[in-house]
Amino acid sequence: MTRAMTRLATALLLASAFSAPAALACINDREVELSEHEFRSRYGEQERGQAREEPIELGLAPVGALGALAIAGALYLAGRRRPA
Amino acid sequence: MSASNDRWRPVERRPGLELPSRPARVVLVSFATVTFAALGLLIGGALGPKEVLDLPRPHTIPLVSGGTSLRIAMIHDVLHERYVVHGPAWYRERERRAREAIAREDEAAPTDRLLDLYDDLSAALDRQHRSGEAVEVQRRKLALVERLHGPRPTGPELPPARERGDASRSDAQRYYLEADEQPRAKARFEAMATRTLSPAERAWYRTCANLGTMLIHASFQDAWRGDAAARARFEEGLRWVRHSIELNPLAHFGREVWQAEAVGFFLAALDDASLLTRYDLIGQPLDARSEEVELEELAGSKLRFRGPWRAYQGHRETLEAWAGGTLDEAGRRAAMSIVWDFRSHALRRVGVAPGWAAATRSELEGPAPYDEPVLGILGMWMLGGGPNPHFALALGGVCERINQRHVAWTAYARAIEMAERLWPEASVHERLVAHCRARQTALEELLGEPHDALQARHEAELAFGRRFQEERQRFEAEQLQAGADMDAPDFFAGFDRAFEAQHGPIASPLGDADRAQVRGRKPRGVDLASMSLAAGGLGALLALAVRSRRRG
Repeated sequence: MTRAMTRLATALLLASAFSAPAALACINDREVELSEHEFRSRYGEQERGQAREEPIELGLAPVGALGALAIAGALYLAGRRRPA
Repeated sequence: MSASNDRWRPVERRPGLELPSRPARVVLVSFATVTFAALGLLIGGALGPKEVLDLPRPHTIPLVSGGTSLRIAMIHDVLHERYVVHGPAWYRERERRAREAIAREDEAAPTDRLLDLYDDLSAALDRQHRSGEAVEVQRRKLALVERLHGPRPTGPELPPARERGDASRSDAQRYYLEADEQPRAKARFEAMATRTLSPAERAWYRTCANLGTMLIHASFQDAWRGDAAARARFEEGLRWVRHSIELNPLAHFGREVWQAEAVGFFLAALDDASLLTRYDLIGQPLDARSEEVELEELAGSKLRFRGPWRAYQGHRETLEAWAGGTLDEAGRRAAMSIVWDFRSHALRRVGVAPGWAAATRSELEGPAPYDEPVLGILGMWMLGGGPNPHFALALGGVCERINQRHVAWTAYARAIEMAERLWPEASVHERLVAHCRARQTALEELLGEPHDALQARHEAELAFGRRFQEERQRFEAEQLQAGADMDAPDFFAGFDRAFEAQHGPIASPLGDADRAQVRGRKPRGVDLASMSLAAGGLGALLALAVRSRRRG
């Protein structure tokens, strides 16, 4: 009984506070386009200004550098004048 | 003789074995280098580490060319009231100016300018919570529209909607698995992507949308109390909103579509309040059993839609031009199917569960790409009736499904804060609050952050948003009192500059939530070159070693 009374009281309280479940508006006036534009521009401008710089990642570059050194060394040794 | 001296001893040439000359040695090493380098290129191309692309997430490609596309920061900001909203002084002044301007017009010979003034007047009344008067203004306008533009146009011809099947589990699974097959939605998208509204369609669209919305606002409270006449007006409002969708379905980032669905949901809830404890406003199931079917759908969609990023890379220029609104009509026509397919396959679909769709008599054919209901809700929240617990609940559900856990947590927090407006029936209200709390607890575990820390951060952000709105409304009231022109483009410039200088931009930074690091198909150029050089170096050393062995 107490629980039922509590529920009833809560329901009455909520009913008095309740205005509408969703004041849903798709109102078209002179301001709607402007408001939409204003809202999206706050994010669009940020995005344009936010340059995406590629992070520098060496990846396999050190291996490639070793390879280049090996080629240079091999060509040097191959092309070197041998002592008589 | 020492070993080191031996190394430089002249080689005794073996009979029949001529050592190559210096140029020949260089040619041999060079040949080996080039051959191995080419081999390295081939192997690197096939097996090398792939490039990592920094790409925008699919929700940045909007349904409407050049239209508003979602940013995750938008959800965060709307939940924290970080957006512009006018105060009562603004709408009192708008009403005064609209009435004055209408008085100067000749209603016997209506013009589109007069119709727009009627919209301004009724919108100002509605925002001052005088929706009944706003409806009367729109009804007067209805007669003027008919006189100026003739009877209401019917909008584009559309094919029949997809069949949803019955409530069986196999039908529900098929419903989810084939969610991208929505012929009516696709035809509507294609029709609207390539045409612009005629003056008659524009005038009728605005009238239908405004009249429908204002009828809904004016009648809901009484409809809920059981007033049959009010309920009839509420249903009439829904019919007008649906007429507006027929004429301009993609207007205001599809807001009317979701408004109609929300109204259908509340209408159904008036008859059966248990609907509110089973689904949210956009038809996402709240209970675990229904979510099980959704999860199966998600697993299926992962298998089927493996390559949205490939599609993005393949059509990058087209998709970016679509998003930027730089395509002409021919370009939009050519891009339509690319955009539709990309959005269908790349975006997680949410809402419009079969049971919800049947109960609410939904006009949607199936679950929608998540950005569509989210943008609809954000639009209704910001430009409509303001914060609402049902909107917050639905945003929480979507954000959980797209792994935006902090935003989801905040959405549930807002739903709890506004709980007194969830529904007047205590049992419904209690269950919805319990659901939000349970979801928050689950999210706290996933985030590894304590409730109190999240709550404190949320409250600080909300206080910041509210302070922005209050201070801006105070500024506009003072300016209007001082006789400033509300339509002057720099009306708010002083306030916005000062606020930003003191607190930074009201919009949150975008961060990385709208971008994804995706492994591409090609190796990075530098890795490919490195593998080729390494292989070339190996070839050169091998050639040298072979020559040394011959010499030895």
